[in-house]
Amino acid sequence: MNASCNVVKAGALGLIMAGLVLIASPASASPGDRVEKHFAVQSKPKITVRSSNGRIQVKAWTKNEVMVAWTNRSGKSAVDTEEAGNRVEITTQEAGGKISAEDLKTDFEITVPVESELHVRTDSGNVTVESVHGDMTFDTVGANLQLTDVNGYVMAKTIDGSLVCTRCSGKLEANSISGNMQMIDPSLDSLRVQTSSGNILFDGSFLSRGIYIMKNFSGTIEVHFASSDSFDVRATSLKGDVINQASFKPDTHGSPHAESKFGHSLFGTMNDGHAKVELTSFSGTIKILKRD
Amino acid sequence: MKFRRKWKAMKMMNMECDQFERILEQQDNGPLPAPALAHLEACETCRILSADLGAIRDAALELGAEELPVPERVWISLRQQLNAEGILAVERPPVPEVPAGWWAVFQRPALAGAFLSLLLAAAAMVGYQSGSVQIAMHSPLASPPAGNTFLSAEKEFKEESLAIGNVLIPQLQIRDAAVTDSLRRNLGVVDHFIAMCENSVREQPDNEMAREYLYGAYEQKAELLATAMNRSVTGGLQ
Amino acid sequence: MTRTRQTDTGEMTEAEAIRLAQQGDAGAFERIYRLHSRRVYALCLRMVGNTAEAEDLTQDAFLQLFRKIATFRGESAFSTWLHRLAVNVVLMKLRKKTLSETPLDETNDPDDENSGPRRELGAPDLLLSGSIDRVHLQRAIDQLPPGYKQVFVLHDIQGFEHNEIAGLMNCSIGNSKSQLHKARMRLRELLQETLRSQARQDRQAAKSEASGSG
Repeated sequence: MNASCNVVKAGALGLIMAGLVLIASPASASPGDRVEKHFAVQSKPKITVRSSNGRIQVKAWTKNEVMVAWTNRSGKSAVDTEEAGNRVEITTQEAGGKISAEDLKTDFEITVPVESELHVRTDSGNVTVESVHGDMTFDTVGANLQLTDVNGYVMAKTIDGSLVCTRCSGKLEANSISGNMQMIDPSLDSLRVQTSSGNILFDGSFLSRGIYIMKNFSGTIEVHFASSDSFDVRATSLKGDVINQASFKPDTHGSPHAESKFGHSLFGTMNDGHAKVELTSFSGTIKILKRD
Repeated sequence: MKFRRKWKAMKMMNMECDQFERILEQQDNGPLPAPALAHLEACETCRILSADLGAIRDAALELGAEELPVPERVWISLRQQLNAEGILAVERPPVPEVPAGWWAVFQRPALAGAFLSLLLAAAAMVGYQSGSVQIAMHSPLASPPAGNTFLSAEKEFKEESLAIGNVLIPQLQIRDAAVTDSLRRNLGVVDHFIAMCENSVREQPDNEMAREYLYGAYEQKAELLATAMNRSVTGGLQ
Repeated sequence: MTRTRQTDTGEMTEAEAIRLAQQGDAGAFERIYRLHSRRVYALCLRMVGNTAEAEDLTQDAFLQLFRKIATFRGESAFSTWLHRLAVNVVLMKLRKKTLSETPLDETNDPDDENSGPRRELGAPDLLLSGSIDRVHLQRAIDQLPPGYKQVFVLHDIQGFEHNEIAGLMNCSIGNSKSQLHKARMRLRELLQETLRSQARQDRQAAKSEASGSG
């Protein structure tokens, strides 16, 4: 009698413990399942995503709602979502047990109001953001960033992830060690990018009164301009070359520049010099090329 | 008798005046309770006191609304400081051989100190984790080095930062091997840049651009180490 | 000539200036400075009583403001935010000075030896209402002990509430009220002395005028 009671008790206790575990742990899904959550927000919500591995895709819509959908292939990681006020936080968590980095791989699809503040931190995988307007920060190790039609104050930091900005406007600051950076058809009024061994490409117009600073250590800095562009340029490479296809006139705005006795320099003004362009490299090549 | 009565009346009044003043202190500008109002009506001294304190308050309020002209030099100096810190989106004044930019660590001792603190924190982290790894650290750049001690400070700094980087990353427990590889690889990239910059500075001591690049590379290294620590502590997540 | 990214300030509103300043626009910074510098300077000058130091503190306050302006999200009025920032800058500076290391409940005022309020029995009180000259008041404020002065300037001149002052100066609300009351009482004495002294001078001047003409 006592033994059977004990068995029943043990069984009940086990059930209770299992229930507690289920309640306490964040939402975990079976491998490959797609989980979707919706959060009602007011205008200009703040969305924070913390992941380690996997694709993060952010799009915009006109609703005052944040939709988060994710898929974890291994089923060994869980996603914790939290909403507080106008803030939504999305974090990948370990679901317990022995897991590897690959097990943590979670792909996200996130849809946010057009005007949103976005903060993304991840290590690897790709991050794509489309048509979001607002302040954004990105912090990755090797994840590549692809921003399209975004507008706002964007700050990006990678170790070797690349950054491609297409039709971006506002202000962009980016820092990488070996990631490449491309700004295609931008409408940025302020640009400060630096990469040590990566290449930098700027193919677009310079806005009047815009400031554009591009620096690297080695690699190439390539700027494409049109004949109608109006900018002052200062390009210096300490150990590399400066290749120029533009017909600059002497810089009309500052005091005359003295040629540096170290490295190769180029100073000049294109048309009325409404924008300011500064290109600096330690040992890389700087190219100022005419856009066809 | 008359005097005794007068003294007693004065004593009572003073006690009440003391209480009244305490109430004034606590109420500040708020409404006075009924007993205090009654005392105010009866006591000329407290009436004068209350009126005087009110006059001082009113005069002070007028002072507060006053705006004083600021010498223009304040704005000029402020603007220069904002330029120097890169807060304003401005063009740096053209100074040959010293293109301003984000590598102006040498000109900003506070930043150098913060950068060095970062490396010190990394060293402390390693010491904490492994227990057996000891990296003797001190702060050669805690204060801006004088010109003739600069090169020796650089040398010490370089040796220590190399030591930190090479020891730290293998010690950290980062789950994702790809992340560890990336950090290690890029640490090599930055160390290579540091070496190249040092050669340049050695060959051309008056090459300010090379020196700025050197400190920029140190700064990048500190950022990389901070990222490495960050990823390890959180296991790649937060 | 320095070339800056500068928007023509013209009639730029404060809100617009803040938005542009958050993007590093030099003109916007200047606009914000022009709008608020006089009040900030006045605050600093009243708290430290020294023009050179007040200028430095004004510069420090705006420097801090412009460093942090990107974090301003409009939860409070901009002027309130700036005000608090400026007060913090001044208080930090004062704390570093020897005098300001004096705890708030200690002063150099010999009158404070008595715990209760001081009362001169039988001494005639001069009514100050209508007689307070701005210059005399400022001079009297400058003579206040540091702790009294700070609370008085913050409360009566700058309009901070006691709970705010308590937070800024790391003291209790009761302490703040007590210091304020003592400051006002001390100011009253100083202003009364000034009035008496002026009355004496007027009488002497009248006397010598009369004897001269006589």
